[in-house]
Amino acid sequence: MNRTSEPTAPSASTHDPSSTSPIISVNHVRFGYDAAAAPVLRDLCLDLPGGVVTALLGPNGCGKTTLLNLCLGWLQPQAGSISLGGRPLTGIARRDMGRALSLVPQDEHVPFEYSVLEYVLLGRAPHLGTLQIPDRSHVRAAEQALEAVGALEWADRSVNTISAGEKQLVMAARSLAQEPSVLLMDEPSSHLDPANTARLLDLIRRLSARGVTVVFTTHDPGLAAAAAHTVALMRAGEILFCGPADDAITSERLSATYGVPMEVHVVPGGRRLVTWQTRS
Amino acid sequence: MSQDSNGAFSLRRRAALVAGAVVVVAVLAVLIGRYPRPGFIPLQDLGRDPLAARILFGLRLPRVLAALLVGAALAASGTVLQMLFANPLVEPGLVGVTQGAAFGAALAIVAFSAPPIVVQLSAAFFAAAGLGVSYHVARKIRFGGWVLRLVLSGIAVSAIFSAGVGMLKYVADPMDQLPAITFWMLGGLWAIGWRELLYLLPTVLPALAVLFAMRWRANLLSLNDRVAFSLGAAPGRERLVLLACATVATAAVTSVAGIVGWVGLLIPHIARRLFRADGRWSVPASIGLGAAFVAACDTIGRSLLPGEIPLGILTSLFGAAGFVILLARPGFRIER
Repeated sequence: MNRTSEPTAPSASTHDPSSTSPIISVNHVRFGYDAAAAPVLRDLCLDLPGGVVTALLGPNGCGKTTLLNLCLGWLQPQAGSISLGGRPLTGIARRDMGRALSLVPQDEHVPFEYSVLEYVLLGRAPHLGTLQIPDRSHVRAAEQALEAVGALEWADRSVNTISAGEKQLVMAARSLAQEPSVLLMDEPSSHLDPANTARLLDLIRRLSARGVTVVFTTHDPGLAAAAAHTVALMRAGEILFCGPADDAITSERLSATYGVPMEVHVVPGGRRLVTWQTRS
Repeated sequence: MSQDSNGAFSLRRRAALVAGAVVVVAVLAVLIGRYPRPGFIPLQDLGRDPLAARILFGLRLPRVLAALLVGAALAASGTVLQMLFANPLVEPGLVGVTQGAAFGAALAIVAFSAPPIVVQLSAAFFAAAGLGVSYHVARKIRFGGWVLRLVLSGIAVSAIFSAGVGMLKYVADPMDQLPAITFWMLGGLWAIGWRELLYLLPTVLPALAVLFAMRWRANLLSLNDRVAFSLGAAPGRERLVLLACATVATAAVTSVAGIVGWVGLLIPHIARRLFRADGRWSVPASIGLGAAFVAACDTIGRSLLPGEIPLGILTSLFGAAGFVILLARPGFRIER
C-alpha cells in the first residue's frame, strides 16, 4: 500500500475513455428547502462521468451537499430529473439503490455503543434480506473493508470512542463493505489530518482503479486537484464549469468560483498549489 | 484479525446463562406460593391433594407463562423503540401507548362497569389510538426532526389521556369503580387464567416474532434517516412496521396486566450492558431478561405478604432502583 503524504494527481488518461460516459445525469433540476425563499438549485444540469473521480468544488453553502443528496435520491427534485446509468432514480428499488450508490456522510451521530466492526457490517444491508442476519461471509467482507482503510485494529472498539478522523475512515469502510458502483462522499477530508487524508486519497485512487465512480464534495481546491480527474465548479447553486481537473483548477476559474483573487502555482512534479489573498 | 470469535464465545456463555435463568425462575415461580403454607409447594402433595394440583396447573402455570410473556413483550418493545428513536431513554409510555391504555381501561370501567374482556379490548383500542394520534400530530408539527416531533406529540397525547383518566376517576363510583381503576393502573396478573393467556397469544407472539426477526435490521434504523436510506433501507416504512409491532405487543400485554412500568426502560439497558448494543444480541437478551424479571417480580408480589402486592409497584420499585444503580456505575455511558 502506498501511503505517501505527498499525493500526486491521478491521470484521467490511464482510464479507458469509453468508461467516461455519464453514470449520473442531472437534467434541469430545481430544488429549494423553503418554498418562500429562492431555490438552492435552479435549472442545474450536470453529467457525472462513470469510472472516474469527480470533485464538486465550491464555497460553503453553494449547494454541493444538496446536489449530493439529490443524486443519492434522498431529496427529490422539484423540477427536472436525475438518472443513474440511464434509469430515472425514482424507478429504482431501494435495495438496488443501496447496491449501486453509497454515501459517506461528513459525520454521523451513533446513538448506541456499536463496535466498529458491527457498524461497518451495516454496510452489508443492501446485500441482505430484511429479515436476514449477516453470516460469516458478510463479517469477512466488513473486516476486509476495515483493512482497506487501515482500520482493522479498531474493529472491537466502540464507534463512539474513536476520533472524528478515525470515524470518517470507518464510515468510508462501511461504504466499501456496501460494494457500490458509485461512491458519494460529503466533505470526506473535513476531519482528517494530513496522514489520514493521504490514506483517503490512496483509497479513492484504488477504488477508481477498480472501476468505482467516486463523487466527492469539497471546498478545498487542493484536495480536488490532488484527488479528482474531473472537477465541477459550483457557485450559488450553479455549475460554472465542469471538465478535466487541469482545466478547472486555474487562477481565473477559482477566483470566479470563490469570489476572492486566487492563484494556482504548478510546482515541480506537476502538483498544483493554490494560494489566495484576503481582501484588505 | 478481530476478536469477534472470542467475544462471541463469552457472549454465547452469557446467553446460555440467561436462558437457564429464565427456566429456573419459571420453575421456581410455579412451585412458590402461599398454598398450603408460604413457600414451596411440597411435590408429594400434588398426587394427594387435588386442590394443590389445581392451583399449580390451573392458576400458577398460566399466570407464570403470562408473566414471562408480559416481560418479554415489554422489554423487547422497549429495546426496539429505543433503537427506532435512536434514544436510550425511550420506553413504550413515551408514544402515548401506556396512557392510552389506561384511559381505555378506566373508560370501560366507569362507563359500562364492564367485564374484564371489555376492559382489555378498550385498553388495547385506546393504546393503539394513543400511538395513532401521536403519530398523526407528529406529522403536523412544523419544526424539529422526526424523533423530536414524535416525542413531543407523544408527551402531549399522553398528558391529554392522563387528564382523561383523572376526570374518569373523579366521576367514578368510589365504592367499586375507583378501586377497579386504581388496581388496573397498578398492574397485576391475578386475573390471568388459561383463557386470558390464549387471548394474549395471537397478538403478542406474532408481534414479538417480527421484533425478533428484524433484530439486525433495527440497528440500521437506529442510524440517521439519510444514512439508513443510503444503505438501501426505506427508513419511514420499516420504522412504521417495527413501531406497529412494538405497540401491538405493549397494548396487548397492558390490556390484560395493567400498567407494568420500567420493564421497557431498565431491561434494554441491562441487555445492552451484559451483551452488546447490536440488536442481534440486545433483542433476544431483552426477551429473556424481561421474562425472568417480570416472572420474579410477580412471584414475589403474590407470595411475600398475605395480600398481593400489585406487579406494577414491584417492577417500578426494582426497575427504578436498578436503573439508578446502573447509571451510577463507572464506565456507564448514555449518548445524547
